[in-house]
Amino acid sequence: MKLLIIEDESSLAESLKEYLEEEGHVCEIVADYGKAHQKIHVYDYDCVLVDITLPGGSGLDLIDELKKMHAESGIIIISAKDSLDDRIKGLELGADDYLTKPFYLSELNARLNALMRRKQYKGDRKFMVGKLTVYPQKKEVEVEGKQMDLTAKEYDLLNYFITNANRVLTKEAIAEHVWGDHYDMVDSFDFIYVHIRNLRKKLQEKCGDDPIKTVYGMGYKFKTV
Amino acid sequence: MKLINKTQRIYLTLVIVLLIVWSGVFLYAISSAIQNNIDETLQSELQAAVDQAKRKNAMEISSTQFLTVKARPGVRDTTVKFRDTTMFNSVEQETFPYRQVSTQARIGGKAYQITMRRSMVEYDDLFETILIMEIIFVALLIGGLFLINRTVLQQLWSPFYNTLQQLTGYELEGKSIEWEETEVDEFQRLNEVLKDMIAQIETEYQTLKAFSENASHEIQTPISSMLNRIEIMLQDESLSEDQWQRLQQVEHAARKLSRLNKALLLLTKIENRQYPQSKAVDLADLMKNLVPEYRSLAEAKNISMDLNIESGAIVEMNPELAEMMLRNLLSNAIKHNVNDGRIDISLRSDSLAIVNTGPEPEDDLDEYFERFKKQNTSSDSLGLGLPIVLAITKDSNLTINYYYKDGVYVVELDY
Repeated sequence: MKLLIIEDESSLAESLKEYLEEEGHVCEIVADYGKAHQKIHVYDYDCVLVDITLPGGSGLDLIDELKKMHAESGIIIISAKDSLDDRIKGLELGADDYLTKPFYLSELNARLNALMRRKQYKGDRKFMVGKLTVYPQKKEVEVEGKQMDLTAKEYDLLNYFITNANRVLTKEAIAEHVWGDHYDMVDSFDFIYVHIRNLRKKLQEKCGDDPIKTVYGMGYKFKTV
Repeated sequence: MKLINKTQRIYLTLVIVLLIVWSGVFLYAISSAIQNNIDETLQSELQAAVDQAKRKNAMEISSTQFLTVKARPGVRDTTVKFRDTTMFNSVEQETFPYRQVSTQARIGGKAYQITMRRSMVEYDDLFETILIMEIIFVALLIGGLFLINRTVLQQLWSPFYNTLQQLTGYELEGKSIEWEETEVDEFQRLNEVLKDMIAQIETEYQTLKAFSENASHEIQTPISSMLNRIEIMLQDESLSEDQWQRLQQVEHAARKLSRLNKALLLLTKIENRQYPQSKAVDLADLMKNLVPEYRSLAEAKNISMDLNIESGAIVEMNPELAEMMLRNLLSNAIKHNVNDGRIDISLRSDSLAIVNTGPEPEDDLDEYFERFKKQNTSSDSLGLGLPIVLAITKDSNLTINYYYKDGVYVVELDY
């Protein structure tokens, strides 16, 4: 996929690019409003990651511009501003998602994938990972034709693992994905065990093996082999 | 008391006292002038009568209503004596006041006491008229003064009241004040001083606001970049367990730094009143929306949540702050709970009570409203949850009570 990263902090933009290119995307970086404005008028992107506070203008105006052009690109706002007001304004203008800095790259990846899936297949599609067949719209998972009995949280967790397959996910990243970043609760990292343990038990029962591996006791990895 | 009324009261008291004193002096002066006049006339008439009698050497005058001649055993005192007296008038069946003068004289070898008098009735009438006129005059004067003062003072002070009204309705970042031009130097100066002060306050407020907004962006962005790099590094399979864990500790610290920065800036923004727009917030709705999110967290500790929500809990406050306040209270109730514990939330139209089980507190609960005071020192929490709640309640004029009783923590919020 072709992505445009509009972010003035070059170090952050570079790390986004590095991560996303590893995921197989093609990324371009622009650091200011003017250049971003040019780019979106000249090229088509599958998704635009845009910061709100930019030298030379506001990212919100760029979103407005994209929508006026009837561009098909998905839009994800990445901003340090976490006020509800900005969030609402951004989403009202037509952004598809809003991530508050700092965010996990794995979280960005999950959101990006969900967005692309929605855009490309209108959500009406299944995909297979190992023995698992995932129906994103119905939020269901089948193993060899048999439906897995998952709670909403477990489905969410499994989907997150699958999207970030073969990558190490820390407990903190998982907790933030499951409970959002409102929780100033270290305890919540322990809560994650309960959900992961149950999910692993169900996977073990249905698939015969457990694709989720523990990494150094502090992280997890979903292996697709 | 209003300035105008106060001035009015001082004026009127002064005028009334002065007028009463003046009336007294005036009446006294007039009456003594009249009395002198009468006395002089009476005396000269008496003298004329005595002289005439002496010349004729016989007392031929007979007594009348205005003149009494009485024989005396001898002349003892020839001085002239004045007296006020009254006499009964049989025609009018009334007693009237008289002024009389008397003297003793020897006429034709006999001693007489001669008294001459004059009715004072007409003068009494005169005094009465003067008094009535005076009262009318005083009443008119006071009334006139009252009206003049009122309108004149009101007019004079109107620029001041206008300024006062403008200041009362003033809000930071609200509409600017329209200063009325005035010819009074003092008021003009007052307006200019206020204008400068407000301009300065607004500039400082804007600087502060810009700082707290930029500080968030400027700090969160490099932290993001740092965290993202660590996340990429953590994917490196060649890392040893030790290296991997150290890296995670760095990540952990950086993430805490980020949360700390956000929480402190939030506190600063609340205390700077950067959340001014308040509107009617339905706490019942808000609570119903938030609780499911927290329920799953509570379930992980096997905490049961019991909700008792009445509708009609409408609070005038900033909606963003309302949400933050409830989130902090809910997460507090879960954080300081025990496994298999309980949380009871009862939301009524005028108060909210969140009761949760928890281990007995080691310190005074009020301390947890201070920044960085943690209930559990080993925990990684920031110790800013309750200070944020407190700042929000202060900003929104709510009262909060937090206490521990019979094994449960109780947060009570009145609105």
